[in-house]
Amino acid sequence: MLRAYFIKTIAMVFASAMSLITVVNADTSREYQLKAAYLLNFARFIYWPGDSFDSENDKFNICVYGSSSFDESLNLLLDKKVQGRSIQVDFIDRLKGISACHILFVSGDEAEKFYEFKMQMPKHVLSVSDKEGFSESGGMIEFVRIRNKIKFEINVTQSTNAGIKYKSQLLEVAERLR
Amino acid sequence: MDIFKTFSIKSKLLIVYITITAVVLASAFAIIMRIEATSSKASIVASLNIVGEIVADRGAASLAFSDVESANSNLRTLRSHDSIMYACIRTRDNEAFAEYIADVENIFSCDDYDENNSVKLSDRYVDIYKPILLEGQSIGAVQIKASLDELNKRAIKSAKISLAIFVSLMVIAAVVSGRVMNKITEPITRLRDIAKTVTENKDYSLRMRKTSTDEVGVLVESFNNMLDQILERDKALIEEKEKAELSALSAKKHAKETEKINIDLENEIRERVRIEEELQDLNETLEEKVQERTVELKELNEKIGDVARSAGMAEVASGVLHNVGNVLNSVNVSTSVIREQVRKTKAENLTRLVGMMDNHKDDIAGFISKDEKGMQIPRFLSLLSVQLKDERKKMFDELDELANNIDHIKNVISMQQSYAGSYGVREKVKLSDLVEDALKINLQGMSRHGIEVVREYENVPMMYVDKHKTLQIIINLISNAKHALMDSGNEIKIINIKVSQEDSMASIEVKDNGVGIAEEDIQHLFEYGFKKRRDGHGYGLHHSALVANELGGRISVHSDGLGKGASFKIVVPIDEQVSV
Repeated sequence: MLRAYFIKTIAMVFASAMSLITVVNADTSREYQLKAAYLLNFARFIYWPGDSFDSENDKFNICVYGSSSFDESLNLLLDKKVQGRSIQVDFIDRLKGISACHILFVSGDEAEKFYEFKMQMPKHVLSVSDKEGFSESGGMIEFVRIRNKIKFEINVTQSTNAGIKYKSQLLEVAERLR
Repeated sequence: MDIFKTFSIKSKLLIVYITITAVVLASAFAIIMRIEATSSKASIVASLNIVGEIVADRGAASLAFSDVESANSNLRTLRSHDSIMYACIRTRDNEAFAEYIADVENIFSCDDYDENNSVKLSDRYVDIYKPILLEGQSIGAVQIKASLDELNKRAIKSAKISLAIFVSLMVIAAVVSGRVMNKITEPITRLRDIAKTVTENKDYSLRMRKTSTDEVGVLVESFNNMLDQILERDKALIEEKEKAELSALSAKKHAKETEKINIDLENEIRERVRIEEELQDLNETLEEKVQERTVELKELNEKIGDVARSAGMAEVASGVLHNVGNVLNSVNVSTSVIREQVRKTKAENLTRLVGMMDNHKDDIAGFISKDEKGMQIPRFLSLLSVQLKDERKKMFDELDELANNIDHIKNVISMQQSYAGSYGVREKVKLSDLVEDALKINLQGMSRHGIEVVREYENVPMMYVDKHKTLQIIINLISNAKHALMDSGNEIKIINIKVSQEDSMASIEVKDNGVGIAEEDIQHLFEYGFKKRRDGHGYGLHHSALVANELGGRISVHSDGLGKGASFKIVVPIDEQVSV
């Protein structure tokens, strides 16, 4: 009886451990799916001025700089629209020529490069990253994890300087405003 | 409905009026409250819609970024709305995302969103649903549930106020309409009271004053007219009844009297029979006595007749003598006048003149032409001739008068002779001639006493009468009239004699305006021995009456009383042959 209970306990611990690993993997994928959705939502809660787009048929460009865990999850956005425009996702490896981008996601690895480049950042480009301290160091929106939930902080000053104008609802939802 | 019939007109009117007023007022209040309730609900829904839109707008980011906390804080702002009991935000997949619960005692659940049904109304709650839109796409929905309790409370309160107003309005309407109704029904009520009094007391003299000209006024007038008629009929009935009672009473009395009279009559008849028997006995002896008496009376009557006849004749005779005397008086006077005339004749002057002329027969011419006295002779002669002529005329006149008078005497006497022989013989005469003869006998006296005779002779046929007797009557009547006039002392003395015919009767009426006859005397006038004149013999009129009777006629008298004249009338049949 005791032995059976022990075996059972062992089995349960094992099973739990195994399931934890799966959960962690699954969590990473889920996190980036969420972040992808957030990127779309950011785009939707920002007043994009008319000169952000060259023509009527211009797509809304989301640029991903550096390697990230987005992988396939950004593809979910491709059938979505922002202000009636189709979304295009570009993975870029250098910051030059990003003026066509509307949202620039900077991966954690490439944050330093962004900081160096930030002075040359063209206007009307929203910079987003999950690099800690991003919003303090010249970025605009920084994903933060709070109580196991994904939240974000907004550097309003930086954004305003870059001509980015948020809808109030977004500011209300932001975890922190700088 | 039958009970309604027993109500008074006022009650009926009041009930109808109040009912109508109540229905109208209640309908008005109901409509107003209904409109108010609807509009209140509509305004609540409208304000909830706005609130819902705000929440939905603010909640869009919360939902987009799965920020439950900001969504909850967003919903908590609804606390300022007391009526909001519950609110929730749902995701696009109808999963509850955030909730607001105002009162833990009432647990509500978040409903699935149905975009075709954005408002749900129940008795106590109203639910509104608002989609949360992002980029024109619904990413979820907001539901807000508000309690209608407050609204209902307000509705109840306003219903209570309305009820209070309704009741007071009804009271006012009742009071006012009561007053107004009084105005309308008061005359009817009065009419009813008077009608009742009339029926109970049977006093039909009551009348109601007419105060208006409407239907009630007409009714009042008709009612009064009806009372008038009843009163009249009543009066007639009472009169009839009294009459009937009276006649019944008198009939009863009559019956009693008749009964009594019958008894009396029976008694009387019995008595009569007894007396009759006695009388029959007496009668037999009486008849003999009567026969004896009749004979005696007849004899007596004949004697009286003789006396009267001789008296009548005496009257005629005395009339004649009187007349003749009168005329003789005139003859005497005429003779004296002539004698005096002859005595005083101026013929003696002529003798003196002749003597004078004799003395101067030598020189007559010188005497006449030169002597003073002789010169007056021609004038004297002419004067004398005039005087003599005058004297001669006077003498002739007086002699004519004398001759007339003597002629008259001759006439009267010859007339007297003509009558004297005709006593008891009927002759054919003309009544007016008889009257004229009678007048002739009296004529002298008449003119002397200033009595005027008025004659009215109608054409009456000749008739057979005892000339003498008739004349006696006429003379008697004329003589009476003359005396009556002389006694009266009237200045104008008129005897009116009228001969006329009335059917088969001839009448002679002698009328005077003399002393007249007292009423009490008239009935005794024709009685034997009745005297009016002191110097009368008392059987003139009695005899006249008898004679008139003999002639088959009658004599009648009329007088309006003392001093008013009298009229005697003899009526004699014209054709009847009368035997004496």
